[in-house]
Amino acid sequence: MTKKQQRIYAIILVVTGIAVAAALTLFALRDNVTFFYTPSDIIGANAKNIVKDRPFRLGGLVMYGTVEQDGKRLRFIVTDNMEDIAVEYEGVVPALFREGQGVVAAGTLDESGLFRATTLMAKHDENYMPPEVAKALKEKGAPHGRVPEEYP
Amino acid sequence: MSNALFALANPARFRKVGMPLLWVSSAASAALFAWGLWLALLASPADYLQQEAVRIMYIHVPAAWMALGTYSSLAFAALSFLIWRHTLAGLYIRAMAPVGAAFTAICLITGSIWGQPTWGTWWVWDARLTSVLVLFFLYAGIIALADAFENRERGLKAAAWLSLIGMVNLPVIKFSVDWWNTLHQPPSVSSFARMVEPAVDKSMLTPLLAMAGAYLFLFIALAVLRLESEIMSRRIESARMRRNHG
Amino acid sequence: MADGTYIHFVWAAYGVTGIILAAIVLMSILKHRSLKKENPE
Repeated sequence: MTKKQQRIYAIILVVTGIAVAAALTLFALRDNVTFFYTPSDIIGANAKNIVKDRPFRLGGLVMYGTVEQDGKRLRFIVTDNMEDIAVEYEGVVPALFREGQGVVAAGTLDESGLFRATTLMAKHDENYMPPEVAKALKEKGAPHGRVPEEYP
Repeated sequence: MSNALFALANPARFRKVGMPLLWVSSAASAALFAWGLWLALLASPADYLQQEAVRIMYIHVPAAWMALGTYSSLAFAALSFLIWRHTLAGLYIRAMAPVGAAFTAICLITGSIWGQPTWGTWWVWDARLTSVLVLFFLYAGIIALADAFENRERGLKAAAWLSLIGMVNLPVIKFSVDWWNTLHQPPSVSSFARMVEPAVDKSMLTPLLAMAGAYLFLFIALAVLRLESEIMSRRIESARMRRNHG
Repeated sequence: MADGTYIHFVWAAYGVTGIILAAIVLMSILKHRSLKKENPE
């Protein structure tokens, strides 16, 4: 084996070793790497075995027609189209918070199944377009399902 | 292809190609910046949801592309330095790691400024943001290692190894938004499905690509300039060594 | 922050980007110049 071949094998060995180690670590920590749980991770038949009496982050879509503003208190339902969880929140609402848009709330689940959020973040999707295009797409019935029904 | 690369790996020949390339890419970058900035700040529409904040995309997203691209080029240079002992490849790592770090810093800072008005937070420890921060630390480590040794060759070797090992972070960054739940949104342009039909309206895609071109030509100009500096500095160094020992 | 058009965020982001890019370009040019002086052909 020439010196050059030795170097090539050493590189292949080290890089694969590191890649496997990184993949195993990330796989083992997948529940910690994930930024939020969806409603069906928490309740229902496919619920994951996670501790629910500690604060965690809940993410999903704000269900249409469920946003209620009562003074400072905001209530809405987060859905992943399989399970729904009602959320209650008091505080600054991010500007992109909309019905039909993604949302991530941090807080705790109480015994009645209500999620009491202490922080609220809006999740943006990958679509960018000017208002006229959004309007036109909506009038056409949003062929790509790209535009939420309600937009400002 | 490989012949051309080998020819360029000769420092003397590199310097001959360098000057014209430097001027052409500087001019192209300046022109694209002028056009891109005009489109990005004045001629493009506001977003239906984000309003004016969408304009941050035009500097943030290309910076992210460049941060990843620069790192890939470092890893490629590291390979050819460690296997074939190409001197120029080693110098390339030293020359371009700070440029990669600058693009990563731009990506992180503009992303943070974008996050506040859209998500409602400056920073979260989700998989995408964290893995890009790791990329910045990798660049910092490479810069530090390249200067850490009395013996230059050894510093380059250490930096090259770190560049190679850090490669595992690139797929993590790219696919973090698909593998895990993140606050960061999935790709709008740079995935296979989105190449066919980008999720960015054409009026916003043009400034995005113009700015990406401006960054790319700036990268090429900086590469030529900084590589030449490295070559000169190496030559000065070896002249000094000869004087001291001969 | 529920109202407004966020234009000040845009200026902040473009400002920071400009500063970082200008810094790396300037540093590269200055280094190249000083090395060229030290290393006449």
